[in-house]
Amino acid sequence: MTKPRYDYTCLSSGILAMTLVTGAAVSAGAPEVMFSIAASGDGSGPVSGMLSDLGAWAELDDGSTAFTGNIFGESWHVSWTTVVHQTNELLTLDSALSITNTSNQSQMFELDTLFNPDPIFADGLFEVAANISVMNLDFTGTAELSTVDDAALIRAGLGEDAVVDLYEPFYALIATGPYAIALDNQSDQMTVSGDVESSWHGSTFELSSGDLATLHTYTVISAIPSPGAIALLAIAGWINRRRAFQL
Amino acid sequence: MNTRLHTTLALAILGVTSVAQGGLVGTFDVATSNGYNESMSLTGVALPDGTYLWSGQITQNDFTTSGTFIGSPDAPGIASVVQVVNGSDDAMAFTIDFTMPLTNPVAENLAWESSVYASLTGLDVSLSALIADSIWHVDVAGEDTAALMPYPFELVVDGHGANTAYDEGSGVVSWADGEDLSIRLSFELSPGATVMFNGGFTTIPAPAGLAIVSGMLWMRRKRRH
Repeated sequence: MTKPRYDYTCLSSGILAMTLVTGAAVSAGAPEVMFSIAASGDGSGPVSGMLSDLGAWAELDDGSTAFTGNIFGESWHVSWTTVVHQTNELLTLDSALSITNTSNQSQMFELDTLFNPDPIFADGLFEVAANISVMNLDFTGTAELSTVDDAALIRAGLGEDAVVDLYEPFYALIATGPYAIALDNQSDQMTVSGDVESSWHGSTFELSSGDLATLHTYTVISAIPSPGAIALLAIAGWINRRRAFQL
Repeated sequence: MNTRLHTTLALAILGVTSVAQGGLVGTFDVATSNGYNESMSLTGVALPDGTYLWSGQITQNDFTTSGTFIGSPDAPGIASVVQVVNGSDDAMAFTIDFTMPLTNPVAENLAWESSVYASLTGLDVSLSALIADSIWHVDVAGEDTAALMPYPFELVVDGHGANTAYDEGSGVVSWADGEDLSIRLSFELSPGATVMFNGGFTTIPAPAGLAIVSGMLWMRRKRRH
């Protein structure tokens, strides 16, 4: 198998493009969620933009917003379903991605999803879970999804400070046999403090030629009530109970 | 309400496609217990290795669906990724079907292998098989060949997070005059859940068929070099 030559300049420009898009106009009503994909074998460069512009989106009845779509690159195909949900108590970002390497060489991919929420609480619990799979789309051989250099396969964070790495290097997931699937799952959590400016998922990996990978990453930050708030809740509960007994 | 039906064909976005050759038309059907029922035609994009890729999305106010299918119509096999979100306030039943035409129908007994993987995320959510049914079906020439994740299959996430499930099977199918191969997903999804299925089905060629497939692979490889 011929190893690809990675063009990091291309990937860096993808990240830059994503940053520049931040200030761009968005579709009316759609939350600001940016998406970027770059592949080492794609001479046309990275693709990045607002998910509301790249595909379809809808405000769902439960208050969340969902984005779906697909893009064909020169040597890859990606389809996505991304759901964001923000309330006073929690913020979730859920991204389901399928990536097909349509070239005859293995390729390195870098994908990023970035959600800029409304300003949100200062303290909370940040939980990350990611399920991944790889499928061999051939009658022979294997399919391999693996880490690149020292980058974790899945990264998730809140702004620049709170970052969780899953599937740290060196990691490889291998499916053997015709149309065989290999899968794995990992999760982690941490407490965070400070205002949440953005919630993001990133993935960097190498995928064997002609094969398909899925990445399903779910992050949630839920508020941890401050001691003062807990005291107020306790008092309110005590008053309610007292009233109930008096009636 | 911003109700929109949006079907995104693989060729429609960005115009960056260079592999498109035009191709086979597959049928993508989606029905829900809320009364939604839609059938759409997807044009497959020919990939360099001779397979085809179909992709389509549906966006509604109570659910979204995205399907990507990669198949080999001349050596029956198909891979699929289906993503579904239940954005309603109640549990919903889904039936999602994709039919791929076969360009070279065979007539013989063929061994098959199939597997399916489900990834579920959300807060206190569940994915379950419908009563007396399986979640994953492969129909060959109208015959229910593979059925995986049978009732009473259930996958649950307690609290916030993710969970996965996997099932596989194999057997022999008596392939007569069929001209298409279809996969079908039937399941119930709780409100607020997102599920992604990754499933595959392939027939294992008989010795004569294997020789033909090997010859085709050798010729393709030779052409590439």
